[in-house]
Amino acid sequence: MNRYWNEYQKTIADDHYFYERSCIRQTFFPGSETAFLRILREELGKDIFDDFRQHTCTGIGYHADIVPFETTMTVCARLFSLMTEHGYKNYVPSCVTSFGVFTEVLHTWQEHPELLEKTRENLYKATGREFEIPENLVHPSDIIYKFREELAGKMKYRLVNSFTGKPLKVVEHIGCHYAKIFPDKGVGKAEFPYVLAGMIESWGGEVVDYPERRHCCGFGFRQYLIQENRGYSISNTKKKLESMEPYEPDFIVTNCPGCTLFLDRWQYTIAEMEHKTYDKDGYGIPVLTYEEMAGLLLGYNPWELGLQIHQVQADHLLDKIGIEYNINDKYKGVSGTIFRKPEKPTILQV
Amino acid sequence: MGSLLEKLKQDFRFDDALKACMNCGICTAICPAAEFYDYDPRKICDTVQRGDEDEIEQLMRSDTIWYCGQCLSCKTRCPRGNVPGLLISVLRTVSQELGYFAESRRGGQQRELMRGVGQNILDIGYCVHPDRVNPERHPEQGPVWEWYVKNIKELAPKFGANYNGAGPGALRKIDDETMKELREIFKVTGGEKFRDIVLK
Repeated sequence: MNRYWNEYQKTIADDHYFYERSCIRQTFFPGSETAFLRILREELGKDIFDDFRQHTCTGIGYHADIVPFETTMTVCARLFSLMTEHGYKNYVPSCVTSFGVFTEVLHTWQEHPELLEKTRENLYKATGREFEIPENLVHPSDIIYKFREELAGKMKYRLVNSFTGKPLKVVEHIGCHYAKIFPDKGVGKAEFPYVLAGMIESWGGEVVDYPERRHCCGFGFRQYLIQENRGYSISNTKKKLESMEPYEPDFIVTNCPGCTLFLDRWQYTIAEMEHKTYDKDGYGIPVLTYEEMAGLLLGYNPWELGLQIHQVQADHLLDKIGIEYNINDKYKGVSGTIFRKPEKPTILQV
Repeated sequence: MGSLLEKLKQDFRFDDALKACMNCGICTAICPAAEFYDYDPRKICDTVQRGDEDEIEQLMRSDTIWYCGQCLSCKTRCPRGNVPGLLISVLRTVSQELGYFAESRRGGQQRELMRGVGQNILDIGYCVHPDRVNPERHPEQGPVWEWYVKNIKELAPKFGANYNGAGPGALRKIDDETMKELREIFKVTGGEKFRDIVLK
């Protein structure tokens, strides 16, 4: 490996992980968390623990400035105490916001040891619990990145257009809090983020480099959470979509569940408001989580991954890759009930 | 109470947030909020750095500090290692503690956030949960969201989720003992008191 590039790597533990679920990913993309655990356990043979007693890290509340940092630190400490109790040392939060929050908490304790002691006191007083600091903190995508070549060997499909034989053009979006706050905690740091690009290249695709590649997805916490402020959110997403449009990407893959949500939903809203879609045929640009991308290539059922609950539908992308699927499963519930399809948007094709 | 600047400096995050600003404006150049709003993080750093008490107070009573989207793109780019987005967090915290937030329209939105996300955390242990994202109040979520929420009991298990069930899994009901500990943490660490101040 080039010695300069070596400086842009991070330590990613090999095995034995404690998994913390994400509020947004569970809410909007629950199949992605299921796919991640399946990939680790069944494809890679890893040990990863999912404790039922976990809870939010408060990240959205912290960045919306309604939860004091002292509270957030202690809530994070309780999550670390669950990890400690089960004998794990490698902490894996499923959300980029959480990853940023935990990184900030660990940084704070390193810079201010008295706050670590205060947090220990707070946690003990509130819950009687004690905790150890994780030896390794990584985002789940870091683990997929680390084992991307091993996974490539197990994949049924590649990121290649089955009709033309050409690599698919993929926009990757790593999310601001993955490497902008603490650049050395992300693969490739803030300047050469490679966590998703590495997966795309190893799995046969081509990364689209476009002017607003590093611009925020537009979440903005209070700028989305308050209805009145949502013009900020959609405007920033629109800026990215307009910037990537000339490159005709086949799909977008995201690191952070919030980014997945906004890049998906605002395409629908922009279509409704301005009769504008960002692909040639009016279907929009599909937005996948990295777990969905990996799961699809491994041959997992797209309708169990949850692609039908994205507003921009990915059926054309599946056809392009050559993925086999049963369309009758798409709107079927777990007991076999087939539901009426969702209402069609006015402009966006589905 | 000492000066407002002293109060800001009592927040341990202040040292990371503002070291020495040279007014280059790179933070403003990269800021998504500055593109959308009449907002300039450079000016905010300058106002706090100059230490004019009247101007700092005016800032904390205004809409201005509520425009930041907390993307923290400014952190990566500041050549002096300042973090304007973190300075905003400090200003917002103190603005709420002193009640200044309620004097601006944007600041007043903190009450809505506290009744929404803040209440979700204390009620169910999630910041966001499908039961709390009402399609009628979220038209931007599109017809797919409405369809999913309507049929969630049948669909969530298909995606491997344990919707409002006991035990582990996505969207599980968080057990009573865990919720009790979470609420106690808010009580012990000032989260509950802060909530009361904002909702007063």
